[in-house]
Amino acid sequence: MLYKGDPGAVPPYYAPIQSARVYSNAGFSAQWNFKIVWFSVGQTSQYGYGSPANGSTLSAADQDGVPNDCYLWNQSAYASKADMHGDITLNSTNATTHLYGSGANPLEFDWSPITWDTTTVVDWSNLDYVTAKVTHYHHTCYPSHIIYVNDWIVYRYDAPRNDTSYITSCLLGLNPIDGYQTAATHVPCN
Amino acid sequence: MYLAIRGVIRMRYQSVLLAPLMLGMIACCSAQTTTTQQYFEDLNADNVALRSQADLLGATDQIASMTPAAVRSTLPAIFNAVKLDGDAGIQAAFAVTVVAERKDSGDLLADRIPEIAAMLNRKDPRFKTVAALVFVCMKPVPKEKVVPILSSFILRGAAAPADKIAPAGALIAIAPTAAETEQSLLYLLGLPVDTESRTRLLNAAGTGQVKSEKIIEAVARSLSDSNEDILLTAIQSIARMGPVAVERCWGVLSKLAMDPDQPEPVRRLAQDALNNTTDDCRKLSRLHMGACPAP
Repeated sequence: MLYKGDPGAVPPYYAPIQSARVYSNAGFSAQWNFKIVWFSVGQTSQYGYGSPANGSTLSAADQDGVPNDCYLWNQSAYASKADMHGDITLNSTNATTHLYGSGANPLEFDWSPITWDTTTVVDWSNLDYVTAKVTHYHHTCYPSHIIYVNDWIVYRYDAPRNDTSYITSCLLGLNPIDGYQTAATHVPCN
Repeated sequence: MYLAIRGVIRMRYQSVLLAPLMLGMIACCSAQTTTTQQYFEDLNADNVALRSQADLLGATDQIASMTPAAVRSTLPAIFNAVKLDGDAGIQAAFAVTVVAERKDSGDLLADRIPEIAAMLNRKDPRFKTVAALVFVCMKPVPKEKVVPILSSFILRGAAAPADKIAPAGALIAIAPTAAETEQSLLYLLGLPVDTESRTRLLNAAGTGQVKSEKIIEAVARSLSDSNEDILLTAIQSIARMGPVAVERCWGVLSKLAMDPDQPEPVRRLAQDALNNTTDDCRKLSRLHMGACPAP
């Protein structure tokens, strides 16, 4: 079986997205603060015999619209967000966002999910130079993981391999990626 | 007063969970200095000096190209190491999954089934998932031995319900229409479990290979759940279970699809389930096997 993941993610990645949005008037007389965490998973699609139809990549030619026949497009589903969590701590100069959880391919025998746990601090104490720093990250070594702040990449891990053995070892919790950043990244506001 | 942040500070965390898993693309490793057997003998000798994942993969990547005789001579060291606790034991258990991927794994692991089954009773839940994974991957799967082991663990094992879901998924993959599978799944679906476990269970049951009307009914009960995650998962599971399941739930799904009080994803997925089944049914009609329900 071949899989195509979240089409809403940034190409070439296909991914669930956990997002935190902080709207803040950070002045001395803050009039309002608003914080929200949300989780987004795109559609996962499964393809069977005959795919990829063009011989190289999944394309419109694979979308035959016939489900459950194990030929070309077979099934689609959305991963559960039941174990995706987040919280935001906000003050006048920074926001600390803690995103953590797990997720699994909804179309596969569910034996072990990927997991992640990251804490990112966005600092706007210098309004001309807003920064972000990942003060803690811990996640499975597969798949790739990316953290954006204001559409700037502040953390990126690219899984070195994409084969069954590597994926299995990662999902068994071997070699979790764990650490923290010592330097902040400039993340200009949009 | 100066407004500090005029824009929106947005943070987005992204992981490539549902990546295009081209399982089967086996990457080659660089030069290997340790044989598989030596690696696991060393692990048995000193499990404190646990080696890196790269070293582990360097050892296990050799398994695919080893002769059956070489694998057999390596298995004692691997299974001895499985008895270790923590990541040392998990490294060895992982090696068993690599052996299970071989085309001759049914033969190679035939005598090891009790040792694989013993992993179900280990405290670390990762051993349980390895046992389930190995049983699913064995070629061929010795169903007559494996099905009773898995169903007995689910029905009588002391593990928490969440730790029984992977074995249940294995049971469904191995023997979707077996009486033991129906009994095990009905038992788990009847337990009070948290939202995550419920969605995992519903996902596991959501395959067209499951034909049991009792299981369809048990899954369908979640179509009235007030939790949106559970509801969304139940809709998709019913859809994947095929036209018979969707027809049984036609009224509920139609109501969900049309209910303005339901969240948009719920309405959309319910509509998708109805539409896809209509497509299925059209196919069946062409084969003169039945008429389509009214959309």
